[in-house]
Amino acid sequence: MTNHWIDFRNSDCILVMGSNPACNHPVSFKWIQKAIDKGGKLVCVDPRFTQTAAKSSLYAPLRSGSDIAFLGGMIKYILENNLFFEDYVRQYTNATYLVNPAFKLPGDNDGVFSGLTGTKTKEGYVSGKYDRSTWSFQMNEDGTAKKDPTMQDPNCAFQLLKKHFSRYTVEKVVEITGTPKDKLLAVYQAYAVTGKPDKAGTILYAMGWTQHTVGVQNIRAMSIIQLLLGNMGVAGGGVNALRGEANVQGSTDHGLLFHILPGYLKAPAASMPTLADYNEKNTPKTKEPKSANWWGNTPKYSASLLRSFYGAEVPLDAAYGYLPKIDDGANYSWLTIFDKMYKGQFSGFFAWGQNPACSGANANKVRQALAKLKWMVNVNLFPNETGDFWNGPGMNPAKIDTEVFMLPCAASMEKEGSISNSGRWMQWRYKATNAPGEAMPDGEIISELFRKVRELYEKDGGPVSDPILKLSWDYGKSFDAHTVAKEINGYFLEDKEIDGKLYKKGSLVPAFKFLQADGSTSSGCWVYCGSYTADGNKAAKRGKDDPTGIGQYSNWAWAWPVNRRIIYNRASVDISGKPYAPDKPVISWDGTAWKGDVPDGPWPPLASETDGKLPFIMKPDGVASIFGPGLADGPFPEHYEPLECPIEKNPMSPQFVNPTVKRWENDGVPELDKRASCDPRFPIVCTTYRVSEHWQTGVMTRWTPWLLELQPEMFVEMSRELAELKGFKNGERVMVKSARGEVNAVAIVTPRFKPFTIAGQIVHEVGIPWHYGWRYPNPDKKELRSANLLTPSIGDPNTMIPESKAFMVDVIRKEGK
Amino acid sequence: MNEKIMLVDLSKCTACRSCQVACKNWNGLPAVPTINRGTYQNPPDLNAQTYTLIRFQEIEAKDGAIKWLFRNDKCFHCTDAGCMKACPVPGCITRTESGAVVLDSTKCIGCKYCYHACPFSVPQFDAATEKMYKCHWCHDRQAEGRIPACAKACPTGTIQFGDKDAMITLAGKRAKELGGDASVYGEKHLDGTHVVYVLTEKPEVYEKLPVNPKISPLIFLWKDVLKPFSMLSFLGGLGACALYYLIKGPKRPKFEEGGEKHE
Amino acid sequence: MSSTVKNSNYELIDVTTPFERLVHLAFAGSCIMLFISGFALMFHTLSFISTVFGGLYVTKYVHNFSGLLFAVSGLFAVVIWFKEGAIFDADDIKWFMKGGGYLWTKEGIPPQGRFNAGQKMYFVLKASTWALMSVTGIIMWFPYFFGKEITIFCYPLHALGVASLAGAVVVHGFLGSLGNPGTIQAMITGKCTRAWAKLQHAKWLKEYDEKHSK
Repeated sequence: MTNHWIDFRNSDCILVMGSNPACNHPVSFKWIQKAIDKGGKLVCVDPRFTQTAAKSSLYAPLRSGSDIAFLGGMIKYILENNLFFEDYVRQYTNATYLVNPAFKLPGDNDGVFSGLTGTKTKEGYVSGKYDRSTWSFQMNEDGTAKKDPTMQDPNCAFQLLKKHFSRYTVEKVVEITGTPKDKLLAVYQAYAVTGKPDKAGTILYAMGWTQHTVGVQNIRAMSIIQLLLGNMGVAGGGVNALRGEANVQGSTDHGLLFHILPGYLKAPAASMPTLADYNEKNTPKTKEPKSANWWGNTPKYSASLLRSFYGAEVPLDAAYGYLPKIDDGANYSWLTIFDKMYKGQFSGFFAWGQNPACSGANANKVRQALAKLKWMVNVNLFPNETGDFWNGPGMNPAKIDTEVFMLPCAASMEKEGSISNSGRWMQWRYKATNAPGEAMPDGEIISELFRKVRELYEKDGGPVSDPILKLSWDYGKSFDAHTVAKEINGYFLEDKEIDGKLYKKGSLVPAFKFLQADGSTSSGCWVYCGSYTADGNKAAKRGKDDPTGIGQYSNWAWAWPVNRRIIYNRASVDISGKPYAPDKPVISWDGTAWKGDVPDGPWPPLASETDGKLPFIMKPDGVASIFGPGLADGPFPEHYEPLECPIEKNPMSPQFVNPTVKRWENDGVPELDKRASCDPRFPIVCTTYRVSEHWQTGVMTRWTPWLLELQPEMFVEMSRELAELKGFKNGERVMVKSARGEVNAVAIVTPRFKPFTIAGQIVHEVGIPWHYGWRYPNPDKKELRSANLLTPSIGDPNTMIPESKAFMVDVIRKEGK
Repeated sequence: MNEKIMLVDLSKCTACRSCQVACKNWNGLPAVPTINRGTYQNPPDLNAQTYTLIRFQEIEAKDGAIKWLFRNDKCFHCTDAGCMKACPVPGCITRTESGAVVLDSTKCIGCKYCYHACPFSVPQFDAATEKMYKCHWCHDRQAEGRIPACAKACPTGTIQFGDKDAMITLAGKRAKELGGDASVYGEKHLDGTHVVYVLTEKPEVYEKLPVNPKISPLIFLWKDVLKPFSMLSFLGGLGACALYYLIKGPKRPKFEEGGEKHE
Repeated sequence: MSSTVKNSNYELIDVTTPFERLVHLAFAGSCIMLFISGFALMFHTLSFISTVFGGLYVTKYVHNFSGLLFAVSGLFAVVIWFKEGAIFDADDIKWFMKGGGYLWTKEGIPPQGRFNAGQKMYFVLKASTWALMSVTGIIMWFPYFFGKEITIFCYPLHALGVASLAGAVVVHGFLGSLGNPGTIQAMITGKCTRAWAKLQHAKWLKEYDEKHSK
């Protein structure tokens, strides 16, 4: 989130799309309700009428996987009706930048941007890759981009945006989304109102946007809208991902994903053999005089991270050498891991706090892949479907050699530490009780595991042993969360004088601006530098004061970066530092200093001749991207159909599916990575979601009787029309089938789902929750009940997040009934 | 303690069901086995282990517009409480100062009168213990200055708990704010219920919610007319006999011949 | 004892059969138990009575099972006494008009059969309330089987039965004991004296003598 949960209350229009906070983020509704109480509007766009829709003043249905069409139409609406915040767009975005004249839009290029190479089929390009050289700006002699402040030049980003989305007419959008025209326009109108300088609109999205082959572009589309309306950096605005897990923000911050190190530093690649290469390649440069270009500090953060890993004794270059390097362009995300596992490229696997036999897309492939392992360690609170995979429905234990170890671990209330919520608040939690039996906190398990591995290396040696033997691991015998938290914050490794002040060796670094590239500081995750300082553990702060009056609560916990509650907050003020929304100012410039939230850097407002800075400090040029050349699949979002869809042609262009996605049905395991698009056997769109009462694959909740009582079984929700067509009664036991698997469920026949009219044909959609499995309840039934048995192996080209929100199924009467 | 009101503003309920779980948690109530019956609502109704329940209801207007109503159902803690009127056990159903109608299940004899006398059918029988159970407004929490568990758990402000006057004012204000079919429910029923709804729809729209809840006249007939009359009848008979015996004495048979007709 | 002397006023005559007495005992006994337990359940002020049974919970069961006995014995009572108890004749009318000889006059009471008109009236009341109390009682015992709408009607009906019966039962008990000495033996030993029969049931005595003189 750019903003935070409490900030929802400042919004004038809350657009909920790709999420269902009433159901899945119940506490957020406290703040959404406060916005409504103050006259704010809640708008919900979703394939089905959700609990959030029930509380919205406006609801519009759309077919799963058609969000870009919906949002593209909104961009067109905003631009054509001059509802955008012109000053904001001109001053704070790259709308004025002139783009390479060789750049081509999909409308002029068979549905793809210029530079695509790949195999062309009757569905358009498949598994293509963009040469992004034309996605560039025209440059001045001084190395800055050419700009047209009037935004009239046909090559300027603004005009290209306008041209690109001129194809997204209301008629075209309705044809793709199936949204009734009046509802579509009502949503556009309601949201576009927030383009007024003192109005703020926010978007609350979740996995309903990310789990698509165009997941990143869904969010890009909304980001563009937020920039056009001047909603970034302001109170009640922003682009807000409602994270699906209490600490998923924290785990991402700390480098959970394969392509990043802690603090969003890029993962080293084979083409960067030295630290200097790494820094050179990953430190953006700019000639824009007013750009802060904060990522310019990358060398300080990479050096501090290496110091945190290997201590002061190992030279930085050597330490960098110890880090594993990924092959350039290689992808080691979820789908790849299990594909390689299936192909026998793994011998062991730690399933740590996860349940891939239920949570992985195309879970039948995952289950087969697990059977190829020599060993698996299942670290969890409860024995789950993954640990028990060899005994699952359709598996033959006699033929599976995988040795499975169960390590019981402590639950969150059985250990101390911090979690970081979606609003980037690092909040300290205390231990309430001891873990039962032999269960241990994860930190202790990891610590002990590492010590054992190191002992083996010490005893037996081995290739590349230094990264293990020299790793700094001063945590002692028992794991202490405070020691780790301090390590994450970072230390001065030698006496250092900065701005006339001496910082002693061994003292905690007060903030990341003090981190050094010369190896004199350490920090385990630079964005958290400042969280645990000489002033104490700031995550444990519990101040309830709110002098800002807009719900910042700056003394409650600590938000990265540097306790900034709303990031890009310099965009909430005009160039002289005056808040656009005087009744809910995030920051304001009183002539000498900033008041309010921690500003995005200490510099005076943009208007200051000498050292004014542009607001988007993490962007090299200091401006936000209307034209975003950094992504794999295009500088503007473009509608492509999901991998599996009910219609034969993309109504928008000859290019059917996102041309840059990796096609597993060709490159994976063809007999398992099946695809069935426009297949009469699977005529119904299916989407997945959650219920309030269960969490993830239900390992923590299915075993909790009070929650299971409320939502006891796998179900499939469908319209009355579809039920009538199929002859299903409400509450009847049915089976949902896709090209990859089948799932038992109870039919919930409801008016909350309605058939869509897509490109002139009636399209039915059903929805299933993904919390169920087969190990509990009713383990003796051996029925498959996990939604992911149906979902396809296909991921977004940027993130490889699987497309579990839009795929094709059929629903049949359960056999033997 | 002041008289309290629990305001349940249905316009704010998102059916997260924290109230339902918090209630079970605080009262140590077990989960009952359920199945999916084609609805989110579970258990199907209030039961001896479920004192509060979110009812889900889908409404489709003629133009296709949908409403999904969520209603937190539980004991209303009526001022004129049918259950109290019907209960045969002294001290089993009592009222606290704050207005809670508390059913002490340890004293309950399982006659189920309270269930039948309740206009909302709230008290629930447990066959295993042969006793009735219902929401007691967390009178144990209230006694320690805490608010009921459901109100504490509610994240959206649907369930608010406070002094009577303040809550009644708030309810009226809220209903007015919402406009349309919104209304306050409970305040004027049964001499004022202590759980008061702000409804978003007309009361008749809600399933299992009586439009005009009243203790059945049959209960009045039973308890206020026939019950005293029974005592009157008994005492009357007793009195008449005593009087007869005193004035006229017993009617003895005559053992001397011929005397029988001349007594 | 002169009781053995035939045709003397002291002669003891069989007035009831053992089976009748058993039915009466069960019916009357259950009825008394029902009244005691029922009043304990009906009036908070009388709930102290329940301590005799071991509390209200047990009292409820005492009431339920007494009710069961009441229902069964009542059925027999109705069957065996229907003919004598439910059919009124001209003499009964006269009896009523004289108030049974209890109130304003003792004169002119026509001779009565084995049941006098008052007893017949009591039988009719008893038979109808037996049906009412048994049906409503069973519904109140198993209300979920019958549903709220039906059950809720039973509460006042059951109380109506109590109201109409309470006084009558007391009077019946009085008249059968203190009010008419010699009567209670009929329901204990089954015998009555000829004098008593002459006084109370002359018509029946006549029939009895005719039957036995043959």
